[in-house]
Amino acid sequence: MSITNIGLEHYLTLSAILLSIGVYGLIASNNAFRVLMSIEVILNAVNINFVAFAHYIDPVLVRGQVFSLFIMAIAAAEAAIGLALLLLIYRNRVNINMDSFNVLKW
Amino acid sequence: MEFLASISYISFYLLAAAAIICALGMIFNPNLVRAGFTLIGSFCAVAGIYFLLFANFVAVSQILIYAVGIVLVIVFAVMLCSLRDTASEMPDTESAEGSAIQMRRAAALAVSGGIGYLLISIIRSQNWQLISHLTGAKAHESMIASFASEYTTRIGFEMLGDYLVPFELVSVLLLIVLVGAVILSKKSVN
Repeated sequence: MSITNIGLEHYLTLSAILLSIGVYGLIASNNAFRVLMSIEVILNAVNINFVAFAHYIDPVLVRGQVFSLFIMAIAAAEAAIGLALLLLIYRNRVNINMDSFNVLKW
Repeated sequence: MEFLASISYISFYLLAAAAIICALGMIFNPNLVRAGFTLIGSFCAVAGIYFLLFANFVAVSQILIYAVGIVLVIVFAVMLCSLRDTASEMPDTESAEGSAIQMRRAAALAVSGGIGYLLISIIRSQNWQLISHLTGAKAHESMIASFASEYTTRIGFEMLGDYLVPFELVSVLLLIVLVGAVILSKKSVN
């Protein structure tokens, strides 16, 4: 009995639940900020998978942790560009509901 | 050892419950700023999960980048936009718009429930003990604690060794994003 006997499948199940919550928020929410936050939740679920596999399957070269750090950097980039785009859209039309993004050129 | 094992079980379930409840709170809280702050709770719980997996460096980066960096920037952007109309998150079934929102929620529930059911049934159908045995991780189980103290060192070697090109590409990407965000959000001259 070691300390780490929780088992890989518990982490994978947690990650699957968080992923489905994020997908629900991605589709259901009308507010663009909430869509951005849902994307962050989805990326977090992926990161849990990477770190759990790195610990349980590949404990010598922990490549999963390196990938999760790359994912964090790309998530930060995505959030910055997404927020800049949202502020630009908000400046042009005064709401940010997903329904009102149906015109590409105006 | 039994005591330590039960401690790690309890803390795993507490952190997992906190992460799931805070993520649900992010989606269902009608106030966007409060939704952002509950998202911080979810990210901190996930950081605790990383600590349970001995991934200390990833956990600290999670708190620094996600919980503090990304979410606070999103919350500030929400405050800049000063949205009055958050009440539209609560649909009234009479209007056509409300029924469209309800339709979309039902579709979202179907899609996310389907994805979650599929993933969890796949996870439950595998024999994970066998898989970790095949990959040799089972043989190292007693040595995992000694590996775990080397994780941060390994990350440093990997980042400047095998993954040097992606590392540099990420730094170029961050520079591009910096310039792009400034150009996009700058007030136009006309």
